[in-house]
Amino acid sequence: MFLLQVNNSPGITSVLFFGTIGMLTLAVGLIVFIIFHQRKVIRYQGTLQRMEQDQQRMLLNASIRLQEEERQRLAADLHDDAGPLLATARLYLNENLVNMDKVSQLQSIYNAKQIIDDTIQLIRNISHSLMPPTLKNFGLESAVNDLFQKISGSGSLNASCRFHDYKERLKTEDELILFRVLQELVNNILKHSNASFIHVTQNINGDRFFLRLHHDGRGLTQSDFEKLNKSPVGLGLKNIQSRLKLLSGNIYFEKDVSQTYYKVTIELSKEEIS
Amino acid sequence: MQVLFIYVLVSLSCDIILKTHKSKEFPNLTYTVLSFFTILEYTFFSLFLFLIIRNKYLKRIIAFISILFLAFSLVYYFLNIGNPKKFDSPSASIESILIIGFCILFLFDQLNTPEIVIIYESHRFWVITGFLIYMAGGLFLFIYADDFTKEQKNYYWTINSFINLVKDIFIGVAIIMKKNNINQINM
Repeated sequence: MFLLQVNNSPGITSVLFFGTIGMLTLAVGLIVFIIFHQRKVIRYQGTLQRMEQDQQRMLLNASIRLQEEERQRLAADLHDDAGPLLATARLYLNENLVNMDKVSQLQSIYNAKQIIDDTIQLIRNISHSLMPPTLKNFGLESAVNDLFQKISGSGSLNASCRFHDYKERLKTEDELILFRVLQELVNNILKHSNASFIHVTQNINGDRFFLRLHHDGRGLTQSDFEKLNKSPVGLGLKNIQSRLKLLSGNIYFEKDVSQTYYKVTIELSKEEIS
Repeated sequence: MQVLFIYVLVSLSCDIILKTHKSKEFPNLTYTVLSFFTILEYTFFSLFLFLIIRNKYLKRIIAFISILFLAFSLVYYFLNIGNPKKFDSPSASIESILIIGFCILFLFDQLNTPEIVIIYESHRFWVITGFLIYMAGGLFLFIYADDFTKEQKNYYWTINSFINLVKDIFIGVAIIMKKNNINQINM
């Protein structure tokens, strides 16, 4: 700066003129750049927000579709199974029953009782599919064990689980959400992966609750999951996402380093679920 | 906003003194007024910036540099008080460079603050922009000001008047924006 302090020379005018114009141009350029850059950032944020809203809408649609499907299944179960059974029981117990001989009356009553027992069993099954009694009475660990015993019993694959830090049960509604997520994941593995084993582990690390599912079939990676989640297909995955959102949880899909099996990690905050 | 208001008052008072005083009666007054105006202008600006900036690291930098600059300006003023100087070129030039630097720091800090919706809707942006244009436009003028002849000074000082006007307009916009924001909040 002191070097620039030359005495009054003819050069002073041009230095002063071009210097001032240059500095002003730089200042105005900087301000214009900042305004335009910020507008660009705002536009980008707007696009991100719209994408997020689209995804939320898709999740909501998926959850509504799931509810509707569940209702349709319930309606079909009640209409197609319970309805005919009760109608048959009613036939056995019609007005002519009093005019029948005693043996026929007893036979009709016995048949009606059998049908009513079947109906009770059917309704119990429907109720259990809505809320597994093992889950309600004994918790997530027992419910997952129960589910895996049934799967292993079929002989097609070996399913096992180990809960390391599950001395205290979570809230029942949270357990149900986690159970449904696991059920959906297991369903997907059974349908698409051709796996020979499924193993679930649970543990707590600090304030994080982890559920990890391993299988040796064809699986998903995180990018596959995100791609399916953004596309109109993959209803089950969207349901998993929307259910976990209720618990403020995260899910990660990855292929193990050894490339031999796939791993799905569900991560929850302990504070959120206890 | 009070800082800005006081700054505007100080600026007006200095202009009035410089226009009205008799240089023969008080030969050192121009130099004194200009030197103190430089110090006060820098102090008000850095205080304003210190109050609005959120980044603690930047705050510390501003405070540290300000102490150094104020010490330098005072020492320079007292060392040159007897000289027939009319303008404190080194202080004013360093002030310009520092304020330009601070303005750039502030603008980039604002860009990295996600809650700022649109930068020019903030009254601070207008104050900073006003000062940035004023200091950028005045930097070379301040560097050479001490060496100007009376004719040159009269000729070139229009640049200063123009950028000063731009700065005052921007500060005016900022004050009006701030007032409107307060009214909207009260409604």
